[in-house]
Amino acid sequence: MTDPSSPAVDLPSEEKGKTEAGVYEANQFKLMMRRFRKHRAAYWCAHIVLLLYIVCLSCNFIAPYDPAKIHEDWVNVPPQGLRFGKVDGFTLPRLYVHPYDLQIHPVTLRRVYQVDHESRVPLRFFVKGRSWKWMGIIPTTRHLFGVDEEAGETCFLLGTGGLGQDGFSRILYGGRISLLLGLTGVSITFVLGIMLGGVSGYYGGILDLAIQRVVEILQSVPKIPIWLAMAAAIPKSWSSLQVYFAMTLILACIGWTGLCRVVRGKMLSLREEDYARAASLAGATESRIIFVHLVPNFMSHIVASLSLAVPGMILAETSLSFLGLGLRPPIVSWGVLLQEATVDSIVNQTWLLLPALAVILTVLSMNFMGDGLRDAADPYAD
Amino acid sequence: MMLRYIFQRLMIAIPTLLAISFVVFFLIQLPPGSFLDAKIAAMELEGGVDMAEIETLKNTYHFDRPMIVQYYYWITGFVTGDMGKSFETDVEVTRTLAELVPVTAAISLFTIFFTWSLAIPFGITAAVKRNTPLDYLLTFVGLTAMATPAFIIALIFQVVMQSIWPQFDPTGLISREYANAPWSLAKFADLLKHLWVPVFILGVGGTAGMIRILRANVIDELKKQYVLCARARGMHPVKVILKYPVRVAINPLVSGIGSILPSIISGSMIISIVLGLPTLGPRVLQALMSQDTYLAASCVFIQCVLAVVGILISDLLLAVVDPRIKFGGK
Amino acid sequence: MSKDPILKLENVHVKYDTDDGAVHAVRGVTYDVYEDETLAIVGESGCGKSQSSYAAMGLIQPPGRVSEGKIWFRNKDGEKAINLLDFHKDSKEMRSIRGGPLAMIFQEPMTALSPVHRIGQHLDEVLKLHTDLDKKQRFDRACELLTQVGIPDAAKRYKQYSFEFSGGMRQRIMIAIALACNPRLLIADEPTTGLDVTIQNQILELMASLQEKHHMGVVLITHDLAVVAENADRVAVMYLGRIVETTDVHTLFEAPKHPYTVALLKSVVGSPLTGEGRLQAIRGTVPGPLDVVPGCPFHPRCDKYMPGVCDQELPTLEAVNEKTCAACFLYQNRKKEEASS
Repeated sequence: MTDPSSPAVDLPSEEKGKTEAGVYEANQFKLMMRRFRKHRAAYWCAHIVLLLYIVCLSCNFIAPYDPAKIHEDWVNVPPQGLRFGKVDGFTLPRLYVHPYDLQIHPVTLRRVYQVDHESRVPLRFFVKGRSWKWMGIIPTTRHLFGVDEEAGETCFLLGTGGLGQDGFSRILYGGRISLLLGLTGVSITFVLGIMLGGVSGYYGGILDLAIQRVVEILQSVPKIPIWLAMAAAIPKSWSSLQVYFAMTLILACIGWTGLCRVVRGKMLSLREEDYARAASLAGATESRIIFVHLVPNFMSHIVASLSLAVPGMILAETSLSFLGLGLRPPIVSWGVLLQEATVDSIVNQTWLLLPALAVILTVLSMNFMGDGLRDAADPYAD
Repeated sequence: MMLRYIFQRLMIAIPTLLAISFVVFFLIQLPPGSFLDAKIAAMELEGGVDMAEIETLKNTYHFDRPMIVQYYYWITGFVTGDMGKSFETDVEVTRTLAELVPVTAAISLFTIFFTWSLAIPFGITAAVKRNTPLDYLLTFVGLTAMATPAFIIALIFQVVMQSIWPQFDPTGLISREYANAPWSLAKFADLLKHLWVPVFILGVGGTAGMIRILRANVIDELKKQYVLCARARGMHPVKVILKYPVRVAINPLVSGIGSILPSIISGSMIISIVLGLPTLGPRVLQALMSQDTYLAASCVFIQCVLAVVGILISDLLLAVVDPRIKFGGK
Repeated sequence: MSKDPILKLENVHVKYDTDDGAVHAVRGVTYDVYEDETLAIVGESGCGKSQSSYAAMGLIQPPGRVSEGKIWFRNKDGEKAINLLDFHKDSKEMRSIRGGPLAMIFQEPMTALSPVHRIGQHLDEVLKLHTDLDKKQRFDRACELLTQVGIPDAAKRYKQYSFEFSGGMRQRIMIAIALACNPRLLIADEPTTGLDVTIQNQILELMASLQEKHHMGVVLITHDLAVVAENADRVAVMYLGRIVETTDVHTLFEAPKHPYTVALLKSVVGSPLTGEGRLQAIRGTVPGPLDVVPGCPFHPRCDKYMPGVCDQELPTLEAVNEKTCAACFLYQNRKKEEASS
């Protein structure tokens, strides 16, 4: 009956050929982005992440105050809500805040800040303030907004902490450190993972064995105690910059193992593929085969898994710094800011939890984005 | 067959553990200065340096020898069950561990139970009702819980508790009146009354993560042909889901017990510090800070051992629950 | 052959609601199957041949739904036929029919059995659902079934897992499960796809012998014309969710009528139409699921396309002669004259 030579009636189904003619020419990355855009939540979260990075990286310009500046008279001030309306002396309605009246409580002698609903402090834009360098080169004193400090006006949009430092400015500066730490940590992870995984998978042999043993050991160690031990090992005498790089290294050196495994596995299976053989028969060099033929195959996959690694690092930094094991003042990071948040302090000063909100927003949008990227990177997903 | 497999795995684990123990010891010794220096400094502050005491300390703990020798003394002691004494309190490390490990383990086990009993029904629901508002809600709540650092959950929880139930003290595990009392039913009941706090706080993040994993697993399985086949046999769809895809999707969870154990023990560290629980976490931190080498190294290393053993248990369990996996083979 | 069909589909439509609009997978399919008879449904992938039978089984999953039509099923001879679409697809009635008198086997036997359950558990389950046998009786019946489908050493095999069986063996187990409750009708969805040729033979022969023994009706869904030639009594050719031609198996190969059927046969080795020389591929591509083709859906690819006729109206399935029905204006004189005038 069934003749071995009888082909099935099935034709190569090219149902989608007409509607998505571009699909065949698009490279893998374009395809991934196309799928990613369909993932609405992830797509919007990607915008949020981008916005967070832009805002935090331009903290010098956007933040109205120096994060370290201590306002002795304004300790633990509640947030001054931003309002929009008419302000005396200006014809057009504009953004303003209500100033506070500082009073000392007659009995407890504690400072009480009374909102003065009668007066309005207008926000001024592109004001002169502390000096900073644009792109690290061009010195300038302009800032996005501020108030007339000479006249004793203040705008603590997100309140102040126990030393009277502006919360809003500190969250932005802290964000710059925390977000960059995640990014640099992931870059190190990326380089280590790709290099070691690639070498391990492509060459095999004794090198592979050695690398895989190290990976296994690192993977079987529980993360947090090791993080604690390493973080505790950072000498107290180090400068904040040194501590910062040490922290990056600590976070990265545990994360690379997973990526290394993935890359190795992909290398192992891909180097046996016909097109890799064909390339080597055609005289392509080894590095060309690896980087031109093999790596692009799983690049999108790696981008996705890395985007999921950044929020983990930000969370780890926050937790370690909170415990006093990570970054230390004067460096400002979200974890450092949260050191101020204790049960007693947040009962009275809820706004001290705002850095946590920044962490949650960041990690949440990064996770959504990462999920979307991962789904989009899977070529078998619809 | 199984015994041989376990034996093989243990043989492989030994060099791994040795390497880990060295790394741990090295890390703890890494900061410049030692406990002894700190001690001398403290004595100087107090007025007089008792050279005799310093000498005894030096001789007992080999402070004057190179690090590798110190490591040798520690690890040989460790395998024979003598983990030395804490420099700071002069209490046997084994005694400290015996005190702290049961509480730590109790929290972990309850947390696993809590996590599972929430994650399994929710995970399945999210998978079956995928891409419905319910699924989106679960996904959003889950991702938010995962995005919140555990200590923030603990802080918020404490603040909320303070306002709605001021007489309840969420910190610690044992009320003050029982602190030094011998174990009794009342003390145990008191422990349970406090235990749910860390279990709840720890469980929130874990549950969220597990719901995501389970959801993905069940969705993968739902696409498989055998689900359709079971329905074609006339089985009720709900029963089909519970009998087939869930059974397969739950395998990684069952086998995950092993790896959950150490991760929760270490995961509870931060919570324990925030809530002031008498578990390993705060002690390790304290020991690390004061370079109390023996205590710190032993605690961290015990967790590493638990992790390695946990992975072995996972693999064994997986082989038990999943007939496709055979011992020894690939 | 008895007079009443066991299963009769009348103008069945299946739609899938997607974000991009409703995909009309089955667009009005009508066919019937009688006792002792094998009806083969042939067509390319995605033509709706599987979907129409899933509709009969009540296995269309959301976002899909049977939007229109009637599915008549007659459980016993002489009894009144019931419309399966009157019941909810997961109702008690539907579940008692599905797997019992109306059974189905699927393509890809490799994944059709749960990897973590013993194959005996699958058999036991279906017997438990549809019979009143006790545990011991169910075990005996399961072993009997395994022996019947040619699996030796049944009692031992009962306890094994699916991965311990080869593809052919697994398909035998699927057949045993389908036959467990003596079905009236067996729907076989590409039962031999993915199996090697000698195994294909064995499976099809097994099905034929069991059909003879139990007087079942069989719906054989396949894209393999060689399988059709060997096993079918009657054939329905489907294109884009519609039946374009029904005929008996001899006429199909000797005198196909619909241009799609002709083109299909020309593309296959060993059919009488192929002749010498190269095989002919059907030109063009299948339109996308959301594309709307005016008139006859095959006209953009048809060699005998009549402008002004085929692209205007949809041809209905009409009798060409006493053996064949075709949905083509070539055989509907009124239209043909219109075209020539």
